[in-house]
Amino acid sequence: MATRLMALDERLRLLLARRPRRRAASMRFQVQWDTGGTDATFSEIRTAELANGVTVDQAVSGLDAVHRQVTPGSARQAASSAIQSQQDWATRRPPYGISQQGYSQSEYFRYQTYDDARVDVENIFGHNLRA
Amino acid sequence: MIPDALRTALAEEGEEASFAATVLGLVLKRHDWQRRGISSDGLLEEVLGDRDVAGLLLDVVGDEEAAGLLAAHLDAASEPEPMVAWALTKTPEVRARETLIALVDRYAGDPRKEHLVFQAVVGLSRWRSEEARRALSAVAEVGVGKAQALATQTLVRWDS
Repeated sequence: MATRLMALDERLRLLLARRPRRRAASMRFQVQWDTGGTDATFSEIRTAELANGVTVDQAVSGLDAVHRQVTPGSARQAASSAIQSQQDWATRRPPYGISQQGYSQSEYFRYQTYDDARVDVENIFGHNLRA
Repeated sequence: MIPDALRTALAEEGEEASFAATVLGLVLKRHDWQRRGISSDGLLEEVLGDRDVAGLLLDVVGDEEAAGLLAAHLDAASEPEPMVAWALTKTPEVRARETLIALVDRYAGDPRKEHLVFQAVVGLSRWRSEEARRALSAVAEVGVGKAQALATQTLVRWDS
């Protein structure tokens, strides 16, 4: 165990030394409801070279992809308008984009009796949605 | 167990701490997903750029210890990193909730800490409780910008 930890520590030091220049820009797109209960969660990511950032086209495709993951079909249908709203929001970001790490944008939708059903867009790293 | 490299980075301020917090937050989230049987989206591997390191971290990092380390940063740092608060929103650990509430109590009305408070509000908006309601009410009353807007929207949603 100690040897394994030392090896991990050394590799982490190397990773820390090389960022942020070589890190990828990244965003996460999620559909969730009943957080803290059954915790239905569907997630998709998009990454890009840091210099370019994640594009609007990638964000739109990421939202489409996470939408396709959602089950059951009734939830997928219920999430449609929130997915569209988030795609519209992403489309309105250029040219300034979004650069604050950890920024998230939630769009809620009605699904059964849950009051927390939502589509989240999260900026994990990088200056994204500039183009 | 938290590797020394992450402990050291988290003790710094700025980019070093932010990266370490991002990694720990993604590990905490993945642990939560594993417990709930939710599939991984691969973000931890993408951020690290190293699948082996991601796998090792998932094996060795303990959630309670990680939440304690992140909370200690927020308690001690003169300029707490917003990504540390973000990381704490990724775990159901009680210590995380207590720390986010304390963060709101400390910084709710400080315009320089808008993004930090926003992260705490994001986390508290997912954990409905009387303590969370009190904290969100404080941000709705004296907070600024997007933190105030999200706190207000959350309270309206909870009351609707």
